[in-house]
Amino acid sequence: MSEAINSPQSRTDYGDGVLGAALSRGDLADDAPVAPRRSRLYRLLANRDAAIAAAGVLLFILFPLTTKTFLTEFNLTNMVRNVSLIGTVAVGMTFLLIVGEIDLSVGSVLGFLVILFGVFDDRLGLGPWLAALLVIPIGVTTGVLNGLIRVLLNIPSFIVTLAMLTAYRSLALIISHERPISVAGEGAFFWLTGGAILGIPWLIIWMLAAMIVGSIVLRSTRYGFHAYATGGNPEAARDSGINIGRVKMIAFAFTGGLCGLAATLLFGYLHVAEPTSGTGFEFRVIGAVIIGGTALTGGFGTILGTLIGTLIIAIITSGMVLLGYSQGATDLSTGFLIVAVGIVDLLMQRAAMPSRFS
Amino acid sequence: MTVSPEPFLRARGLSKRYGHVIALDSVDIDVYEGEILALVGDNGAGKSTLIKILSGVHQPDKGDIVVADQATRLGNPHRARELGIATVYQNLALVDLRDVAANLYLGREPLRWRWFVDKRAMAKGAREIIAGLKVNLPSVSTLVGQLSGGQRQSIAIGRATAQNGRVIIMDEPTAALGVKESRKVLDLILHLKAAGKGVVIVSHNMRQVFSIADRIEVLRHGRNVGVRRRGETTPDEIVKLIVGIDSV
Amino acid sequence: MSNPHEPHLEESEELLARLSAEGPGETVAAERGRLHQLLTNRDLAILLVAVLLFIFFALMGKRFLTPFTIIEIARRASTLGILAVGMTFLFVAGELDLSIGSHYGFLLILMAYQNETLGLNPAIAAVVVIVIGLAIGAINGFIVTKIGLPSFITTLGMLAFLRGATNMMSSGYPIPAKNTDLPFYQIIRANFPGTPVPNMFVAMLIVTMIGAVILGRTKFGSDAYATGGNRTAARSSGIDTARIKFRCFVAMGGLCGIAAALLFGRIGLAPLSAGLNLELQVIAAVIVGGVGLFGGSGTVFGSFIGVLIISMITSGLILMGVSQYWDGVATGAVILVAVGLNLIVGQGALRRLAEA
Repeated sequence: MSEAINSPQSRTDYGDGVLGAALSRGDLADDAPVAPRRSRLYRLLANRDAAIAAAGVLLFILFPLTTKTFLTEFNLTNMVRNVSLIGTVAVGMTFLLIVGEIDLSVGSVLGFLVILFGVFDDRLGLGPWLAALLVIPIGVTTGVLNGLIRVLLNIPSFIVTLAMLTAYRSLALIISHERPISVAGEGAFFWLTGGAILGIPWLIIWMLAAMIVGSIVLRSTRYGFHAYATGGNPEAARDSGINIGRVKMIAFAFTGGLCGLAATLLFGYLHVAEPTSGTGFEFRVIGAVIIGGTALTGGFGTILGTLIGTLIIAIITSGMVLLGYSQGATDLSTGFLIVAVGIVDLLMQRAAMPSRFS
Repeated sequence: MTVSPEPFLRARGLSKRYGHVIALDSVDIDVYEGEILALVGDNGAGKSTLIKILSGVHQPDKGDIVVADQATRLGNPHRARELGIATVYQNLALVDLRDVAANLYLGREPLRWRWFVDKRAMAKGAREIIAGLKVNLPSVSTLVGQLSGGQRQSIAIGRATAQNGRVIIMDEPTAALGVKESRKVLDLILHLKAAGKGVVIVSHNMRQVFSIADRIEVLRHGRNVGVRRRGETTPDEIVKLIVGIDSV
Repeated sequence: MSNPHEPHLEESEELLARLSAEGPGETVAAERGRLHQLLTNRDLAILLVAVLLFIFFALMGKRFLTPFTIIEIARRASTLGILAVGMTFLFVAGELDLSIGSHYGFLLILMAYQNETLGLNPAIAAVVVIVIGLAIGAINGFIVTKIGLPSFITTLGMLAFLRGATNMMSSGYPIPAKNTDLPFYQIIRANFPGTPVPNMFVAMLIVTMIGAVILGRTKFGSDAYATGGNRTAARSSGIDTARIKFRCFVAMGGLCGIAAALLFGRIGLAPLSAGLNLELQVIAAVIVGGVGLFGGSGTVFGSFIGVLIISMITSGLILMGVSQYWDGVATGAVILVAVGLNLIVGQGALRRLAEA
């Protein structure tokens, strides 16, 4: 190395701005050992997961203390229903948030698809199995539609899905003529969706199946790696040859399909399709995913976290209803949680990884 | 150091304009393997347009590009990479929330059973790349966002070289780094040269240019106003070429 | 910044300035006449669309041209128009507020609550509601600008929060006003003296004009355009972008209050599902009106035309005998088409910008 670099003018003026400030502070000097910083982020994240899990346990202990009916079979099965539907769709929403997108229409799509299910099963007499075989691919199609508009027209996903939200709600009301569709609900299908095996409700099993599949895909497949990259740094992903449009489309389609599955399960459990099903559902799903640790900014998140978030949302939902609060209270608390958790995550990420924020 | 007699990458007469703006005007450039070429010039001289053309991001309006004795069109970045031209941009194109191994293999993850990533092979390969770069890292599962600026730069370079790049183009590799880190990166660049790669660095820093470059090419107003061997010129002359004052 | 030795650079800067002139920006405003600062060519194009739409509906529905229909459209447009002014400011500054529907619904319930349960004079209730609206807007603005949570998640959470709050406060049926003979109601329900134009519509026009003047001709307005167009450039020019955005959020909240107070005065009760999906209609109106999603472009006048268009579509569909639920689909489709067109048209200019 020539002396030029070691010259006395080595006290460089790094200029203004965050980078300059960081350099002046010596944050980017390679003297700073990496190991402590690693454990700092690691500790923060591990703490966050532990904190959320602890909060969940706390809630589960507190609620029964405040209301006698919390631990009843009725309430627990109600919670089970909440958990499994939210959890199933939350798997897809996790994928979407990881790739940097969002779907605000899942509630309306759920309502639309469950009405379709009722129409196929009862009005058209096709029976539940065929209805399921139709509704799930239709769900995938709604997701694909979202994805196409997002990728091809480059319209931000929250606008697209916000527009879809009203459209599907309208369609559900139109098709059903604002009346619910109910069926007797007997037979193998209804057992496989709404019944239980060895004491475990099938709803939970379906949800866990979706979660296991989702988790494996995210952690171990090439698609999963590409999804994290697409959300973490889209330009870097694109430059590396990843087709980010395709990655996003798959996430949308997957979420749509899960909505179809959820609609099938809902109908199987309740034996009735109401056009207003799923109102406010999207908030609970998004809340579950965010509480579970998936970042709004993309590139980060786990299914396990989503599972924990789902449990917490379900506990809060049921708990509030039991405490005498109306449906409105759940929306209120979910909204509050979305913002509160979002803020906490933002601050934590900023503290742990200042290079990401300008 | 043996420099190959024929340039690996040779471009002649590259021109590019945007509307009324002439970004490049008939620029020639040669890149030899085993040699470091510094591309210098003031803001707006055309350096970034030139490297974007060489890495396949932009297409020249006029001009020929010859890679390994074959005339080609670098239609897109993938084509350029296939031909052995790897580029490291200033923004590094790293995914901060992913670990070192994932970044090194971004987009070309080794697979097992068709869809599943072979994480063990990836980690092993990543360790080898890091060792080859002589970079100090505790673990390949560290998140890239937590590394220092110089380490991140090394990861970006490592990813470029691991793709069998024969020519590595770097845009301001030490712009955001302090003195110590810059030295490490410059050491790395010299190491690349020793390994037989051709290196093009775009730089504003005369000290660094004169410490490691073999040849220096100066752009001004989109034109190539001079190419000098480092031993045959002085910083003064280069600066005059950059700014456009005729030498006295 | 520009080097006298580099003529090419100066040319490209001029090109950039011309290409980026969408709404009244600093360089361009100096060249335009006073009327031009409020209108752009795009606004005139949208006006044309509105006129064509009107003709279309007039031809399709025999009952479209009746005074009743026109009043209907005007009423719908009044609420949308007031909210659209606020949304225009937010969009121009590069932010948005998804919560305005439930915000508006909440304030409406609050009006009814104050009136029925607390027995307050509606004029006082209106002031309270406007203040609370400003406060909620301030909370949104604080979270977005000071804490840094992106506006769409902040306002999404606020949407759920306020919807829940509204739900909790309403007892399941609409709450009627106590005494509708008070001047508050009479003035709002009346027409502008000597004209068949409802006062509510006039109020909306006044708000729109004030908004247009602020956005088009004051420093706040041009700062807002700069903030949305290029935040870093704006900041280096010394503009306090955080304060601009904060004020836009607060203004939005206040406008929700005004709209709620006016509606309560007009119909004398707080309907059950007030404000549901209202945010979508307002966003649709603003986008159709030419206000870009990404900030820095569009005018209040454009949004005003957009409001008229959306109101016509909604009312028109109903009158054509289409079931009222189709308006959800229609609004959704309109948004997608409008945004898509906006982006495709904008894409061309943007690409030229990027390569220059």
